[in-house]
Amino acid sequence: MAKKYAFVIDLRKCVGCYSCQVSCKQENDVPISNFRSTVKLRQDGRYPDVKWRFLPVLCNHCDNPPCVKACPVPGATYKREDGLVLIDKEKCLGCDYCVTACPYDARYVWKDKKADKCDFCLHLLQQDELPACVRACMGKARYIGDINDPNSKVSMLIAENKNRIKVRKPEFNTKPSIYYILDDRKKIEEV
Amino acid sequence: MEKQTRRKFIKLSGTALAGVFMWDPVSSLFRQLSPSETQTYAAEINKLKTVYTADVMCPSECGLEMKIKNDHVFKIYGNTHCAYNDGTMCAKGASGLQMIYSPYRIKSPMIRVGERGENKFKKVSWEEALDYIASRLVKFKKEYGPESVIMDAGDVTDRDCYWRLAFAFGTPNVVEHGAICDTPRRHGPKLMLGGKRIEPDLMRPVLVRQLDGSLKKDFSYQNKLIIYNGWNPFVATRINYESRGTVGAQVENNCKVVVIDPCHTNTAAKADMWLAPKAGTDADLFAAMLRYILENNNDNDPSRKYIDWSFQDYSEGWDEFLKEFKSW
Repeated sequence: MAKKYAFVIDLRKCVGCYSCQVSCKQENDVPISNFRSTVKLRQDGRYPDVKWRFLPVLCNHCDNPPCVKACPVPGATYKREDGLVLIDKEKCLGCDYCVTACPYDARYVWKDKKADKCDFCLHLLQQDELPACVRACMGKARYIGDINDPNSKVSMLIAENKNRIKVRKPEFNTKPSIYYILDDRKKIEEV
Repeated sequence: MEKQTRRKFIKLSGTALAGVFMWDPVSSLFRQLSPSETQTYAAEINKLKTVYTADVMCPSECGLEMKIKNDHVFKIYGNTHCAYNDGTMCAKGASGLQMIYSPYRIKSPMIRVGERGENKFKKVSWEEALDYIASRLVKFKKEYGPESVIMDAGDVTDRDCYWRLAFAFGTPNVVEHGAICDTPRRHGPKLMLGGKRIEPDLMRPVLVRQLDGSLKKDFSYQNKLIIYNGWNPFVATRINYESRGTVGAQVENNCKVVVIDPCHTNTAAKADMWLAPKAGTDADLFAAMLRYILENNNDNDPSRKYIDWSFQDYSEGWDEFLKEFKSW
């Protein structure tokens, strides 16, 4: 089977250091006001039962991407066979439709009038290197790999933690490629 | 060499422009790559010079790998050959480029001119700044005496020069964070265990020599319980590896983590138990724990055998301590 990238984030190991967010910014020169990859923090409860939950979020590279459907220019944003959803900057008009269509707030349009979002650090993937956020992750909570290969790290993690795997906002039927391993002691909720 | 803007860069994208564009730190802050550009980028980055160095922004001193382009630092990554951080780096290390090239960084001394909190500052030269500090210090010395001044120094490593300055000025009040950090950590085990500082495996990755002579990084864990007292290693630590080791041991070895800290921290968020005593009462908490251990220890019952008495071979003064502890 052809290679298809998937991402596993082990929420049990995320320590909330924001290293993914900052290393992504420096790798991809993301504008100050926006994020390709960020960590959401939710604080719940009152003393002494306080709970903090960290949820690293990025573009889900959906198999059923609403942003591609919303795009008025053919080929400006497209789904590749290896699972990536990409933007062709030369065709993009900056019309904002995809930004509105994305249920995960993964896209933004900056001053240059081009939509932009996480591309799994395509320039690094092409050299068989890890994306900046995966490499920088202090708790080693992030894994990227080929989901069609049963021996890859991501496939093994998904198989091992079958009952704990969840994706963000399944009700939109987008079939995301980002899988979260839940922390058993806490429930993941939409932040 | 022509200076390229982002727009021109896209127009020209393709293999033809390899090596043409010059990296401009300020405008490239907002530069983004399109899929066709990434091909060029991938070819480019392999030609760049790589420099291996250490991050000295904090005492962790993680190994870093920097890509150099046109005598500028272009990218910073963690060094994957370094077992200590194994290619990772924290948010502070990742933002290292901003420290060198950010257009917003402060390049000269600033003196506050408005009220405190008003955010009004004046740019001055180093000469003026030094004169200003000296005049203020002399004023305080004349009005309130030299001992009214407290100097707060950094780590043990740069303490001595502050001491000299402060002692010459006439104040003995020099504080540095070693008093609450390094000193107890080093001297506690020295008193209890004869100089050997305990380093659990979730604090120290090891390189293991394999049969074929190669070195392999070993990230396995045997720890079952760790108690962090007043410590937040996921955010403020000199041991980068603990961020990985603590959660790794929790997931892979079912290690339990207890955090004793008056405030809820990132470490408390991942802990199995968070105890929040009033600040300063943690000694009472530990005394209560010790009392429970001493009263309920039974050497003949394996499930109640809390104390490994062989520690007495390495420590001094246990009997006196016990006597004192019981009287209290």
